[in-house]
Amino acid sequence: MHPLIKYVLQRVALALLVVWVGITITFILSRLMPFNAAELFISRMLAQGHSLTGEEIENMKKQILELYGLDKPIIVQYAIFLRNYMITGEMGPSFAFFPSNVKDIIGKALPWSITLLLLASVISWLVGNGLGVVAALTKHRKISSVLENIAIAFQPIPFAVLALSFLIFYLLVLKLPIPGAAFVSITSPFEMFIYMLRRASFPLLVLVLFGWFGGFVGMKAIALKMREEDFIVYAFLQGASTRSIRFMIFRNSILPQFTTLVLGISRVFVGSLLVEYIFNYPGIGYILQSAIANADYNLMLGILFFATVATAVAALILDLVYPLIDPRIRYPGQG
Amino acid sequence: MSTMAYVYRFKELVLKPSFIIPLVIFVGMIIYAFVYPLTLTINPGRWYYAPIAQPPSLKHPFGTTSTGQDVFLLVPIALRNTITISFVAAVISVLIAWGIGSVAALSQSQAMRTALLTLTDIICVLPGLPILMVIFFTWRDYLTIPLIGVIMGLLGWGFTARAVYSILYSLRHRTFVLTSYFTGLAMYKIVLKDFIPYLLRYLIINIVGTMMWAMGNEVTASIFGAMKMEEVTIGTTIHWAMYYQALLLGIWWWLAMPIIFLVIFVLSLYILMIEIDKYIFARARVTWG
Amino acid sequence: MGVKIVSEIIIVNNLDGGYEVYVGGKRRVFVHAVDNVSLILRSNEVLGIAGESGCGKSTLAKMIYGAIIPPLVVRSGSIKLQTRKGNFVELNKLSIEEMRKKIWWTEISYIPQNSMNILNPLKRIKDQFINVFKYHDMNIDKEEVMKYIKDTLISLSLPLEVINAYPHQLSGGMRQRVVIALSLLFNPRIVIADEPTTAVDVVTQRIILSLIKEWREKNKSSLILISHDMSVHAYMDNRVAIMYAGNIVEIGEIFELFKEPLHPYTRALIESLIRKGDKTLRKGLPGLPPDLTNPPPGCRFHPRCPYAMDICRREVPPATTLGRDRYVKCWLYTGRG
Repeated sequence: MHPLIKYVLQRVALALLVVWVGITITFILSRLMPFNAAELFISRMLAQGHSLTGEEIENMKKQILELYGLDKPIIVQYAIFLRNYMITGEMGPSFAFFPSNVKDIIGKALPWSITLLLLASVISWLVGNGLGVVAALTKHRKISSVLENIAIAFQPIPFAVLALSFLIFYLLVLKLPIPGAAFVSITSPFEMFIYMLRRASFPLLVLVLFGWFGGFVGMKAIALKMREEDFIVYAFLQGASTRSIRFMIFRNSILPQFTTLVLGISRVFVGSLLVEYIFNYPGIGYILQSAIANADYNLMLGILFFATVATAVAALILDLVYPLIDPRIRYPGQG
Repeated sequence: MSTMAYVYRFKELVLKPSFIIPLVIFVGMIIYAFVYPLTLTINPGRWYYAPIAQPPSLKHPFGTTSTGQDVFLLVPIALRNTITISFVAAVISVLIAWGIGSVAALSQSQAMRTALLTLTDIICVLPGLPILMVIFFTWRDYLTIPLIGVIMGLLGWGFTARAVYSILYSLRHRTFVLTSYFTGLAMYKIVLKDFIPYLLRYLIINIVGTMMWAMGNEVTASIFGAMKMEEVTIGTTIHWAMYYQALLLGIWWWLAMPIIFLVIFVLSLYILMIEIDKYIFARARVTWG
Repeated sequence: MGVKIVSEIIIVNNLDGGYEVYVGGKRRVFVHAVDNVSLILRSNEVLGIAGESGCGKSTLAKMIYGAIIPPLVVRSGSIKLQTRKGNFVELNKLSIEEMRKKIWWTEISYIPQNSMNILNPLKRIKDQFINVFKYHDMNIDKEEVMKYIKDTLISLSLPLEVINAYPHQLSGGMRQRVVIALSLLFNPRIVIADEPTTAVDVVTQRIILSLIKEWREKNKSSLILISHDMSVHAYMDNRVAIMYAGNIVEIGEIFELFKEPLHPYTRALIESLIRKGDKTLRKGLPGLPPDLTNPPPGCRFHPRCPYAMDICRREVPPATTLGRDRYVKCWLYTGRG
């Protein structure tokens, strides 16, 4: 088998494994709940006084009981759950956004979240690594030490705290409004995408502003070492310009940093959940908040599953990009 | 080792301002969070024992909340609980990470290594926080502060395990370890003499790193409301402040005080860690030559 | 006109320098790697520089090449290069930028030590060649360049597939041949080869040395060959300079030097070689080269010298000239010892 195919298969297998583990955890949590989620849902539905006919209630009851399949053996329940989540996408009705289905609600939010997540991870990673190279190679010691001190001071502080402090600073000290994007009529997927980017810009700014420290610190160390590598010294002696050498150092140092990008996705995801909620960005984080505020367990479990899918897919995309930038994966060598 | 070598003495470490100042702040924080609440006669988590939404004054140095709580009394309790959660989480996760990472690195079986590394990769990619939020929210009535920490620890060991694996794996192939091995030193002595001092550094870094991760998760989950909301933590305090629109109403101290104290605690802990790490590193280099 | 006279194309005069190391921003350590060195390189000749590792031969090579960047400094002396037009430029007075544009690769080229990492792992071999053209602002016609690269590869008996390969796909010997092709790309008049055959096997070593030799003889270029291996010098050199602890202790025409080594250190180096039919045990030189941050007074070799006298411990020996191309720095030959 060509090693490249082997690599791709391995990464796809890992992504599938992650999704399977995620769905299994979701299943276990749904069965371990200290109450019967199906009955709770119906009783709360009735208490809310939705004008439902007896027939509709019976229908819904049947649908939910079928979904949970609580009267069947646990293995069968698991099989039904897998089928519902992976194949039919049937995750039951949502309480918070009744009468929409969990599937539809998440389906709408997911593209928003994936866009923000990918943009935030890639941009903050690029910014961090770019600054890391600059700090390692610049002749201006001051720039390098200022950047380093900022990274050291901010890196240990939890992202949630940084984002909130930024919000306080922005609203109370700068007294600025949070920019949104007025809804415009959207006729094409391209316009939709542009609209999405505009909505994403402010959450993205916050995520990148506080997301580059890790990449910076790692990159600076790698680039400092890379400067002494034989091929860099040889290129210098060949008469390469400073710019070419800098680019060469950057290009070569960024490869070992790629793993941190892939593995960092789940951490960026946490941050993006939070900024989505704080800045009313219509992604997973935003509906998760509604799910929790309304004790909407179906929606929560659905989000849990899709969060797993989202991070697994994002990680897979980045994993598949890797061979494009590293020829050593594409063409394994002889030695 | 030549006599010229620079030896980093303990006395030198203790006299360094970049060690002393964070140490004093850190100890002060610990006293404020763990000892000071013991002297209180009221439960600062209760509502309406203080006037509502007062700005900082002599009587209430950090102001009061819209729910009639004194922020000066609230912050130490919140800090105590958040520190406890994160510390428990760090201990549990570092234990798991070291177990898995060291078995993967030192095991002779390729299958075992692949299995453990795959498991670690999965844990790294899995979105830990949404899982934690669902668990915390669903079982909120059964949670205690240490239990929250335990649950976080069970899900938070991926990155540490990866780091431990690569450190041990490279350590195993280092010349000084091989030298010890070929000169006939018993394996346990190699571990004691060569591994432990080296690993001690990473143990401290891992614990502090995981504590910060856990604090972040606690705050984030609480902001979403997925936490035992009656417990006073830094996160739940922020949640209630946001819930009651503290920013829009200009009650900034409700939000700012817990944040400031968390930041000061985190930074003092972090700088202490860096200084201790430098010290251990310098000492270790001297003894290894 | 028409008569090609042998001329001096590099003149090194009393060159002195080393590495300035700053410790904690204040304490200064100076590694005195090149101490009062004078040399000439003639057109169309191979000059070897021999010595143990750490004797300063690579530092000297870097200085002659003009790659003088901190911590490497030149404290005094000069390096003069005769350009193609016939006038002399002082290399140590030029900026790195001028060196890069006017001197490197076109006048003087450099063959580095072989290593896994000597070529950028992310670039195909052809791009590594194209880059060198770009570094020197050469107007490149893509097809012409490709043809040129192909010819070069054929002349180095490398398969043509190499052109599209990445460095990690090549064997050590192939990689080093590519490096040599890169270094000789612009047919430079002077080549400095710094241990070009270290870390390759003996067979490949022979192939690589022959390649360099043939190329040089065809182009009538000059070569400065740095190697710790006296047998490499015996195979390649016209003249050889023996370096010890930053000094050139002896210099001479290669056959004369091998026939009658004068300096005790040169003798030790040659005696350590294996000779056909000789069954006696090889003698090694006891001791280590001195610490260049704090070299011994007098002759730097005296702590290891079997003939050391009183004066050797006190005073630096002068250069004693013995014939046109021969001198030695040792008190044994001054007539004063």
